[in-house]
Amino acid sequence: MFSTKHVVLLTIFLSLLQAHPIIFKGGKVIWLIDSPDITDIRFGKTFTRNFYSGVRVFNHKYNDESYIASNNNLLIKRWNGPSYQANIYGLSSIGLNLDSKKSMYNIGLHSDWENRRFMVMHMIEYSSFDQSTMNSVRLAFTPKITDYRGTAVWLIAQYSNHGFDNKNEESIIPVIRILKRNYLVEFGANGKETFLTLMTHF
Amino acid sequence: MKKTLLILTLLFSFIYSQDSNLKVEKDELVVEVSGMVCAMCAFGVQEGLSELSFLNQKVYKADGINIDLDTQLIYIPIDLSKKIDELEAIQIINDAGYDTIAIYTNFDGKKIEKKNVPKSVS
Repeated sequence: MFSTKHVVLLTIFLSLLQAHPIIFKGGKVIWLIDSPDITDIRFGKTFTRNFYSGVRVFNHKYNDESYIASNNNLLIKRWNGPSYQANIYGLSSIGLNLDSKKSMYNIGLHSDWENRRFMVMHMIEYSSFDQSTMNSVRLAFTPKITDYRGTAVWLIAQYSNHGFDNKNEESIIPVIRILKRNYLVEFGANGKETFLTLMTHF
Repeated sequence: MKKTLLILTLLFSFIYSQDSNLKVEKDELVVEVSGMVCAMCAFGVQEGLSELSFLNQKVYKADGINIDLDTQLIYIPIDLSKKIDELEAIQIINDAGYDTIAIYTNFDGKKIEKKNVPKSVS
């Protein structure tokens, strides 16, 4: 699909992008996502205040193929307000199909706004391995604002639109997010599909 | 005119309440920040500041510091026998993703001093 030169050039280019999550400088993250489309395990480190790099191994459920990829995320812009934070991130992955050894890439843009009560997130990603586009929107709120040491519970409505093979598959999943210090658990289900995220920072 | 006066009154009462309710110990830096709305993200501030060279770790034990998300204040107990480098603390807070606004100190135990600081240092 690509020559080695193309892969190297693409890696350099995509490494200039950067994505979600970007945490604190020096912070590391372990992240597991199991969604209707993908099972994804990531490990990475935030090297500067706006650059994250790591590895991910994921299984694409529609074609049941697995990939290993370098994942590089860039904080493009952040707005810090007295009671809110908003961010725009560039996301990128580049890697290989574990069976066929074909190269793959994935690029995206993630934007979010949150205060202590509400959160809005949008993400759009293009993946080369199935030439698909994924659009996700999350609207979230917490019924109870907790302090730093408390356990926070967020209720999230997650909408996804997966466009591939001239088809569009849409799903809406209610998700519950539980946060305690550096641990995050999310679980969602809509009767047909389930969604799970486990994440920790350290 | 009435609306302007009302807005100004509310603004000043907010500023007054923020400062008047603030308690700062002699051996403490209190840093006002912006954007610190998520507890999980604020964990980075704690992780970074717990490595501060002049931190007094006896006060908050393993946590090292105290974070108040309501007021956007970070309480850093300091060891006065060591060199206090405020920029070191500001940089760590910036590296965790937040802008810094001001540092409050009370070294003589009588009067809280407020010092405006750059919102970000590289």
